[in-house]
Amino acid sequence: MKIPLDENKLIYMQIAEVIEDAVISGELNEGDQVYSTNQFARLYGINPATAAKGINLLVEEGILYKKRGIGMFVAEGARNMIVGKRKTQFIEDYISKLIREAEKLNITKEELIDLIKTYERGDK
Amino acid sequence: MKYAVECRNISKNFGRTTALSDINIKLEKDKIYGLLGRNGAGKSTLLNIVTAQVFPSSGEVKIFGETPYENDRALRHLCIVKESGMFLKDVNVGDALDIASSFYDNWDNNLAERLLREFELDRRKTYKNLSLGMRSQLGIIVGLASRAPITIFDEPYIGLDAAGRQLFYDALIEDYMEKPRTIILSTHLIDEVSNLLEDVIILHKGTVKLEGNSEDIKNKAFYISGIKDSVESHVSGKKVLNKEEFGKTMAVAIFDSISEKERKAMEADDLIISSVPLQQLFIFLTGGKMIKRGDMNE
Amino acid sequence: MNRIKSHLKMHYINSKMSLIIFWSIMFAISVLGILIALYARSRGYNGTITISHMPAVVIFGAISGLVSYNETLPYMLNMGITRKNFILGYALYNTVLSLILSVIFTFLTLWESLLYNLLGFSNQQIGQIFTAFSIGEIFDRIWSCFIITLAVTAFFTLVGSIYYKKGMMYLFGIGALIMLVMFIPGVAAGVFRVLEYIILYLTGDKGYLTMTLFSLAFFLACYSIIYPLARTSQVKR
Repeated sequence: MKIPLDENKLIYMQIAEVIEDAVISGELNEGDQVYSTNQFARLYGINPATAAKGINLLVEEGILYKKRGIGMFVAEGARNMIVGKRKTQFIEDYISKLIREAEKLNITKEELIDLIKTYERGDK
Repeated sequence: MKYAVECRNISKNFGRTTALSDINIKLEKDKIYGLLGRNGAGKSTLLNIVTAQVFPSSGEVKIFGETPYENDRALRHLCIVKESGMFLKDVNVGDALDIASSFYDNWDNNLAERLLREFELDRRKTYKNLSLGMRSQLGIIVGLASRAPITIFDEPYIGLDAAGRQLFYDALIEDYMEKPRTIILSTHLIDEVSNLLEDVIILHKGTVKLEGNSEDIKNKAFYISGIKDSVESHVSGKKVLNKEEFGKTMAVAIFDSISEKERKAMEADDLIISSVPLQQLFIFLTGGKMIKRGDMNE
Repeated sequence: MNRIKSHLKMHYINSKMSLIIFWSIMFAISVLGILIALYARSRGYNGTITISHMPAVVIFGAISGLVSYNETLPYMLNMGITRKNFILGYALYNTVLSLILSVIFTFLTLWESLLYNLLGFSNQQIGQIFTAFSIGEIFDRIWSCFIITLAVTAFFTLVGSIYYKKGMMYLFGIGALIMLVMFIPGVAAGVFRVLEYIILYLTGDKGYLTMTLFSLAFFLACYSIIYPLARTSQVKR
């Protein structure tokens, strides 16, 4: 069985995200070896070159590094790097949308902050 | 010998019909290419020319820098799997594989045996007694086991059900990882294989309509939908492939890049941006349209 | 070298079934012939009652040559053979096939003659079959059948190669042309004289070397046309 992919996003970006998610969640720790491009190709039913593109992206960003002849490993400080990156994205993706939507519904920023403070997740 | 396959100004006429018109493509080594096109686009003709089975009206082919016509050395690099014409009617499966093994230098018998078992083909059956699906399976076995440096699959799965096709894709990727080689996959079933393709070439009416890395292409194919005026202002200057209007809303498909800035601006205007899957992009580029119920009455 | 072996092997595998069927029929005809001869004799018939199997053999060679070319050329081109190698292999196949057919034919005829003799038929009655049962005669029969089959097979391979490249209409066109040429005074007479010479040989046993050379020349002449035809032949979808 192949793990399904979101057809709206670029495949290699999704591979990079999967690795990043694993680092954030603690599944992958700094110094751990990451799946090889072939393993990703097999898991997701994709071309190994595409998997490589995703991995190389993270290597360029310094989140992964390559040990010649062995494989790809999580770099030191990777977690912080990713969290930092995600925080910036968080502001773009979620906060700006939140504010925009709130404006449409005439919710002021103060009301918004109150709502956030008092909000309880349904599953807690 | 930088390229595995080169087509220089290939044209082909059949009487007064032009099948191919000035095709120029360069295929690099060890990549999986998708050759996409509608019926009659010229895919099979092009592939037959590349393998020296059909002669071009003009232009030339180079296989690792050499012309394949009457060139044993160049021909040995090639293996082509076709819908028909691959096997003799009165020869059985086992013998057919035996003969094939002597024509492909890199033939891997273990792989052939394994695939025979996975496909559950009876080696004593003669080709003419095989069902359409089984014939495809046999062709696929030859294509994969040949391990030819340039392996071509020209719509190899007629009659093969979804499970059989999946077996093929898995075996293809697995063996490609084991022994990288140049693979050309010519197909209609674009959505099924789009994740496997590194580069794509779209052929339409005998010319190359589009070629490039499949992810790069995906990064330029977007649906943008929202309020009509908004949409129109944001996509002005972009290459539009298709427009659909319903009431005050409009959805367009564009083939152009969207910068981060443009994306944010669009989102700020409540436009929804999503990707166009390769299959649909292909349909747009090759003139196909979705027929809506309304059209019928117009 | 390896490729030539597999090339011939392919032809063998492809022809196997038709060869088996053909010789089974020939054997059955042979047996039938003997039974008919016995029956005829019991009815008082005293004349010649056998036929030569050679025409059937020659026809088989011819049809094999024609059909096999059309089947195996696109198949082999698809596998990546050069047209030159294909023709070389095919010429070899023609030769080997003709030889094998001739050998089997000779031994079938030998078996028949022995049986007829055993059953008390005289040489006169069994017509143009073995008379002396010597090694020399066996070789004669094999060789004469071989060179005739070879020439005819090559000719029909040529017909097959024209058919492959140009199609049925073209062949009919050539046939019509030949008929037209035959109407020219003198041509028909000349052709018949040549045919006469060949048939004379079939019943006599002179001019071995000449016939062999003639056949070889004819074979090469056919192939000198087949080769350029193959070189310019394409694979249809």
